[in-house]
Amino acid sequence: MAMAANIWETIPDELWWEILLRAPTRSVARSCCVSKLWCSIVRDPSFRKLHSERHAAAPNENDIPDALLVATNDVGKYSIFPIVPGESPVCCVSNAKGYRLANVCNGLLCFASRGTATVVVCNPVTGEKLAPSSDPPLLPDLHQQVMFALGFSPTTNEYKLFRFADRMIDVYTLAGEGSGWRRHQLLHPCRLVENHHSPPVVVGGKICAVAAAPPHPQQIERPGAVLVIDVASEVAFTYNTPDYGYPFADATASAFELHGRLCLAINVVNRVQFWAMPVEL
Amino acid sequence: MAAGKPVVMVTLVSSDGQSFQLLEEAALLSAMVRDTIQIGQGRGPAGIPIRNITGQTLSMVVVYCNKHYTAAAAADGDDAADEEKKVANKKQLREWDEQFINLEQDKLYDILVAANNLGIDGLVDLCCWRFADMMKGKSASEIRVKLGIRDDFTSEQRAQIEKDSPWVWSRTT
Repeated sequence: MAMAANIWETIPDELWWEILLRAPTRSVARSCCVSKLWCSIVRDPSFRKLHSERHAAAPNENDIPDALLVATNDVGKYSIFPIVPGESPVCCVSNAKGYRLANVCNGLLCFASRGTATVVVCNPVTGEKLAPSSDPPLLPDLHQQVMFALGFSPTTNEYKLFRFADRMIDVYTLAGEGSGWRRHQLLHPCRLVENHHSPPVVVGGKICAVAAAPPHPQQIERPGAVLVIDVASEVAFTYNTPDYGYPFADATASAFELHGRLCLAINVVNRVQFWAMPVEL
Repeated sequence: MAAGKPVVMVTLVSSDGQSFQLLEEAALLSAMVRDTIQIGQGRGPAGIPIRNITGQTLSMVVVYCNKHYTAAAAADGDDAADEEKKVANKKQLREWDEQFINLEQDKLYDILVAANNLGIDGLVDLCCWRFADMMKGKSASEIRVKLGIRDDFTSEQRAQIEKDSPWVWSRTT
């Protein structure tokens, strides 16, 4: 029998394809640096489509790390670590000055830089990074606060990046090369600033974000309206926050997804109230 | 097995001249055997010659075909009524598969290529799962060592990949 080293290289390419199709996502991502053949297989778009369909249908416990830690350092580099001692970063974003985690959508992390108004989307499982081919159009007021969010529409199978600023939404379709940024006007002005209580969440193909309320004469802090944007149609609606019963107390709201519904956790008078609503347009 | 049905055997002959007799229905798990019989060959005493597959490998393939044929025949006999028993049988077969395929890599490679040439989809699938399982939690260089693959990247290509995703070189649990 020939030496083992040669045997493996005579396996027909289509069998390597079949083997890699069955491997967990992390192993597949790593396979790009095993050999040229493996690299060409795992970077083939049709392979990736098949692999993701197969593994989305039957999620593999090896596919997703339990928790991720996003760390930044002085020289402006973002590193994403799985929380296991002694692990090396899953992914690094360099020149990350001013970047913050804007939101998380289908396990993809969306980082946006306030200073340069640029975005990077990172897949922590495969370690891949993606940035739109063009930066969003400049705003009339360069110092205006903006909010970025990544959304996914299950009906059209599209990922879109949204930038919210005052009365405008700028949208960019990822992987839709050459389409560039589109601008829509918001009917109701809505202060959407970077909100550390509550990054935007994606519920059933819609991005939901809690806006900041207009300034209150007594400086009472309260949540503003809930802005809902359908990712597929790019149509926006606003909902009032529920009447939580304490109009003169400070309150903050955090949005999250629960069983396909939007939930708000409203922290008021040392209690947290949970409110749920279906998001239909 | 249905009573009264004539028992037809076929003979598979390995590249090194060893003969294996098995039920034709079990051998039909192979698309290659199916095609050969369909064109009216292979039923004679000379059997079906299987090129490029040694007796050692073919004997394992025959064991797999026999097991899967008997399991399928037993499932047909049981009727659909006993759902619980069906699930238990399936589980049993899966455990048998796992034990069967728990082989050293040289053998696994031979069986994978044999199953592919004979067109036995279930066995190809099983071998591929086993290989994929071997890659779990290993770094690129560990995978290379484990599977004996030659690193054919130029140093520039490697540097580029390393720059794009430094973590892919490291090991995880």
